[in-house]
Amino acid sequence: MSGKSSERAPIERFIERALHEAYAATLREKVPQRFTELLERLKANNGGDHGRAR
Amino acid sequence: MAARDKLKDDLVRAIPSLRAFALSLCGNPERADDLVQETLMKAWANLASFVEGTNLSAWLFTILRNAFYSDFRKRRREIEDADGQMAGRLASMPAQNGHMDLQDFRAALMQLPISQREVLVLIGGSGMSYEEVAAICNCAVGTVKSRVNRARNRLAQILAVNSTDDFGPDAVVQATIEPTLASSRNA
Repeated sequence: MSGKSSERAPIERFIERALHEAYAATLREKVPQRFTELLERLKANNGGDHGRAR
Repeated sequence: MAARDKLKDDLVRAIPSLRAFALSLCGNPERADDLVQETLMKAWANLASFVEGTNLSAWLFTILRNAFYSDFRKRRREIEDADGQMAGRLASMPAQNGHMDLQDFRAALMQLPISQREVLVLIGGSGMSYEEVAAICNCAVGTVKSRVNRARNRLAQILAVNSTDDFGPDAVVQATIEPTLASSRNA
């Protein structure tokens, strides 16, 4: 790949942007109900506040 | 009670990033969500090991990563390409007009060895520091830097990127990679 060093910075910028774009939909998506329900169940089942590091 | 409410809120806020990281690791949305679920359950069960005031996201990413590798070892199906030989064979020109698009990029990303893909996503996608990623991946900072570098080079190789012209005609992409060039073209 000729001229690699001079092209490195644009490639880095492209990759960073493409990574954001590639997962943008997932990041924007509303948190699925299965996860919020799971956390509600865990919270309800875990009676005391034990285990929480202070 | 308030502490658990706050923790639950913090976990909910972390879920989108966890899903994106999981998806980048396994490439399968359903499996990614299963990984996130496993992560949340393990995190809740091991709250004692989390030190309040430290980086919750990094802690969660570590749990998710460990869950992924544990599952990966169980499945033992070939995904990893440590030597990069497969990626080399799969190197191809971008699909249309000699330019690459995001679909090409996603496909190329999944061709990277997992060890390279995870650091690239955490650094480039999640904006974590090299130090944070080193802690998550349980390796030296220098190893992270080296893997990121190899990942970038491999991506460029897979996507057959030789110059900025290969990034495509999209004005936004051009503005990202070469602001000066783009502005002169648009003038």
